[in-house]
Amino acid sequence: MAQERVPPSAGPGANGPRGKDAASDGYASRRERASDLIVELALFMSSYAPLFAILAIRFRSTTLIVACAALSAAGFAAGAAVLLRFRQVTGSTWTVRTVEDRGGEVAGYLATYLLPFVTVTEPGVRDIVGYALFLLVIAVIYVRSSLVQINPTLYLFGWRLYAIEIGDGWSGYLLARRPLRKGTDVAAVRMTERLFVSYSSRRS
Amino acid sequence: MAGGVLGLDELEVPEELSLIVAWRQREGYAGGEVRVVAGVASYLREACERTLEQISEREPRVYTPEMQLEEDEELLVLEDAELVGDSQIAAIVLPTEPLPIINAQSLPRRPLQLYAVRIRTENGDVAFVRKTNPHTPIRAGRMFALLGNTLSRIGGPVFGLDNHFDLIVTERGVVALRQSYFELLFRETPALQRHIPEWVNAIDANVPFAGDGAARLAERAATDGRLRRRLRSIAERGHLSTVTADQIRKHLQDVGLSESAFLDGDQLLYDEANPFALVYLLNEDFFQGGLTDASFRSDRKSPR
Repeated sequence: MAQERVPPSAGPGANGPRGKDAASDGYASRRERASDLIVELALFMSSYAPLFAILAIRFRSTTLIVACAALSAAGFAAGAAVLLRFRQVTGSTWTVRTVEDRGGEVAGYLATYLLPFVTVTEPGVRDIVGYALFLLVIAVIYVRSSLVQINPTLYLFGWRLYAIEIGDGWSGYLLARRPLRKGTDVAAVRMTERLFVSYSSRRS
Repeated sequence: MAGGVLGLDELEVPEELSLIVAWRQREGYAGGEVRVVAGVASYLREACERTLEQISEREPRVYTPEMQLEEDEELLVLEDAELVGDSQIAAIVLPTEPLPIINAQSLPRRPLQLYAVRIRTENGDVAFVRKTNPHTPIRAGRMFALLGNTLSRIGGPVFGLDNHFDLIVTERGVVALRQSYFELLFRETPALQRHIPEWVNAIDANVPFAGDGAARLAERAATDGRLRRRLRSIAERGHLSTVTADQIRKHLQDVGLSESAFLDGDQLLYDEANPFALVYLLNEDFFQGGLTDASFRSDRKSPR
C-alpha cells in the first residue's frame, strides 16, 4: 500500500516561491499569470454577455445598441472560445476529496445584472463613462477574486460550478455539466491554476 | 514474466494523462505540470506503451546496490513502498494534488532534470519517467525556426520528447530500464538514509569498531551515496555474521594490504581520511588477479 508521501517542493505557480526565491529561480512572477489572465478576461466578458444583450434591448440610441450587441456577441464568443480551446487539451484524473456546489454564488453575482434596469434608456456621455467605470471596477474585482469562476452565461448553457479539494491541501474550482460526488475520480482539464473543467458527460 | 512486475502487465494507458517536469531547487526538487494538447498526449501515450513493451521483453532483476544491470536484457525492479513514499522525485511524478502549471512564462531558468507522464490506473497512479531535459535551450548565436510554406522563427521554448521512458514509478515501487538513472534519482531518499545506523550497527555487532568509528562512518555515509551503497550491500549480503578478526587479518595479507591500516587489535579501524578503504575491504571489493599478483578493486559484482 502506498506510504504517506513527502510533500513535493513548491513550483513556480500559485504555491510556488515568491520574492527572492522566485527571482533566484528565474520565475517571471508577474508574467506567469499572463496566460491565466487572458482566460480570466475571456470568462469575465462571457459572464456579462447576457447583461450587454439586455442593455442593447434597453438602450434607444443605435450606436449604443450596436456597441452593446457587439459586446454581448463578443462575450458569448469569448466563453465559447475558452471552452473550445481547452477541449483540445488533454485532461488528467484526480480524486476529489470534497465537493461543494457553488451555484448560490451565481445568484449573488446576478445582482450586478440590475444595472440595465437602473440605467437611463438614453444616457449622456457622463452616464456612459459612469457605466464603463462601474464595469471596469467589476472586471478588476472579478479577475482578482474567486468570482472568476462564477459565470451566469456558463450556467445558462448547463455548466455548474463546484468548489473542490484534492489531496491534503489543494482547493479550487471545477466546471462540469454533470453532478459530482466527493471521493470520486474526475477527468478534468486545467484551465487556470485553480480552475478545472470537466468535459466528460459520464456521471461520477 | 517481466511484465508481471508491480502489476504492469495488465496496464492500459488511458486517454487522460499529465506531463510533469522537475528541476533542482535548493537541496531537493520542485515540479510543475505542463498542459498538453491531444496530439502530444497521443505521442506520449505511445511512448508509454513502447516502454511497457520493452519491460515485458526484459528479465526482471531485484535491485541490489551491488548489481550491474545488463540494460539490453534486464530490468531493475525494486518493490519498496517506503522508498517511494520517502522520495521527493516520487512525490513530484506521483503528486497527490495538482502541481503548479508551467508555461512559457513560468518555465524555470534552471535546467529541467526530467519529465514524466502520470496516469491514473485501477491500482493507483503510475508515472513514466524520462531522465532528460525536454527543454532544448537555444544557444547564443543560434535560433530555431519552423518550415511550413515559409521558415518562421519559433518564439517560445522548444520541447523535445523521446519515444521511450527510463523508469516507471508506482506507489508500490520502481521499475527501471537504466540503473544509473534510478540511483541518481532515488539516492537521497530518506528511506535509504534511515537504514544507515542499522547497517553500521550490523557490522559493529559482528566485528566491533575501534573508538567511535561506527558513529563517524554512519555520519559520513549520510552525505555520501557511494559509501551508503556499499554499506547497504554489506548489510544485505549478511556475510559478516560469520567473519572473525582473524579472517579479516588473513584476507588483508592475501590482497597485500597493511593490517595496521585496517585493524586495531581485533577491532576495525575507521580512517576519516580514507573512509572508503574499510568499506571496500568489508564488501570484499579488494582482490588479486587470478593469473597474476596484480591488485584490483571491484566497483560492481555479480553473483555467479
